[in-house]
Amino acid sequence: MKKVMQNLYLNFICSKQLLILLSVVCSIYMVFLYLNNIPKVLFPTALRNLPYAQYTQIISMNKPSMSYIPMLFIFLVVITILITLRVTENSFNLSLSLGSTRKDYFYGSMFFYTLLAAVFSISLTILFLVEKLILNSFGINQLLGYSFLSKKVDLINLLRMNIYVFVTLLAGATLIYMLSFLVYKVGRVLWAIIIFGIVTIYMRVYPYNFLDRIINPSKINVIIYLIIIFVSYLISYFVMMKTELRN
Amino acid sequence: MEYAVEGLKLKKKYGKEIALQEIDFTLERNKIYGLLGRNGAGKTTLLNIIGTNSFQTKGEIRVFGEKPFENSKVLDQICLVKESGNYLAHLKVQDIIKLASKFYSNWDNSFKEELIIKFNLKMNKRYSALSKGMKSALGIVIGLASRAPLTIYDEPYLGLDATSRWLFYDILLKDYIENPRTIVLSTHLIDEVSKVLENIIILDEGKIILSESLEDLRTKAISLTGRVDLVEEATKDKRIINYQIFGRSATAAIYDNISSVEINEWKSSALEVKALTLQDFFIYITLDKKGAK
Repeated sequence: MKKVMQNLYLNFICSKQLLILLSVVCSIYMVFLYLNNIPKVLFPTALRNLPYAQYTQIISMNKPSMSYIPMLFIFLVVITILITLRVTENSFNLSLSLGSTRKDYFYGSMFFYTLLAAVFSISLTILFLVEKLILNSFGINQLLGYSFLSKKVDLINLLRMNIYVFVTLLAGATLIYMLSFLVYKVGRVLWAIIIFGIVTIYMRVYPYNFLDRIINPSKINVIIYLIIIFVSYLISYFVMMKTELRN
Repeated sequence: MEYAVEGLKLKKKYGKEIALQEIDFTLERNKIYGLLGRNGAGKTTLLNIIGTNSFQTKGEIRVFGEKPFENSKVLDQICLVKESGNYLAHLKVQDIIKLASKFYSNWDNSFKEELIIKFNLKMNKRYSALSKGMKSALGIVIGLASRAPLTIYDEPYLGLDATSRWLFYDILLKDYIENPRTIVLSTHLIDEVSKVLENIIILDEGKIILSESLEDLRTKAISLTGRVDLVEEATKDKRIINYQIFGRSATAAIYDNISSVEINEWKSSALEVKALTLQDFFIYITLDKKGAK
């Protein structure tokens, strides 16, 4: 267990810089969006000029509504993917160089990504509540149509939202983790094939808004993501056990 | 006897290329070994297999009597410091050292502090901002402070200045006397490192061509210089690894069992007898021997 914790720490150290950088950029951008758009929602003549207008609606003349939390969710998916991309190869090299077993490294990484997804999902839920409070104080409704809460904000719905965000982020991380290992073993040319494959599948299967489908909190999505997590970890484990360190 | 490392018919192939050709070797506990070989001889491959960073194609490797692969107990006792470092460019020196301290159970923190001062490491600098020599110094500090029962240095001093190298040998020897452990040094700076080695292993084209204590080697590897006929007479039953003629005189490098009686005889017959330096011996033994007698 001690070695697993050491690997958890190692993954954290490897991702620390990027994590801080992306979080700061994302926070600044979100603050900018609210500061820029809350006045425009309150005075809706300029609404058509709103950036990301799909997250802002006027439900009635008396009750303007908005929410940027779904967009923050997309940012978190991207941040998770970028961190996984950056950390996997580096942390594997470093961990084995420091005398870890592959298994300890694997469990350490598994804990790290689970923790990352948990922290992000809990933060998103808290920010959702903060957003609601702030918007309400301005007399603006929180837009629920694009969020994960269908009708009302209660404990069950918040929990549901939390679980959905957690599963989605973890699925993204584990999928990239697995792909990174395959690329590490096969060579970087595999990235080109993977990207080409994803674009092709996307064009064929999802001709509509890809991101909307990803963040759609349906039960079937949750099941698909759970399968992705399980399969990705399983494949990663077996690939890793047969992977030699690159110098 | 339980060895620190034991390799049995160890073979490694990269595609069609054979990096190690079914080699057998042992490393005794608490000795300092020099792993020597020309570029591409298979040194790094062998060290990577010992540290389970690579897998052997055939054969068996045992470290402290156990198979090292996925063996936490064994890997905990190995510190493999590589030329490439494998440390992340964006990490600060202090982060890297802190990480290393968590992974090695015998880590000595006060020794680390002492080494940081001696090697003048800048703790707040990022790894990417370090000079080549400072990167090597970081590896050296980690290897020494880890106090791992099996410490392996693969080309540890790239870019390191002469003073720092001397400092390294000095600290290594002093610390080794106080805390004996098995140390393997793979390097091309043969003469320098010969001061600290007890045993050497020479790899050539994936084969071990020599595994011997330096003490024995010094009595077996000598050069004889004198008149051509005298040199030829003296060396007729000996294994000559290099032979050069300069006009009427010749120099022969011998690697064989030599008695003190023979040495006295040669000296009395006006032959100059000198011990071969490790570097010269290494060059002669690994060179194509067509030129030798």
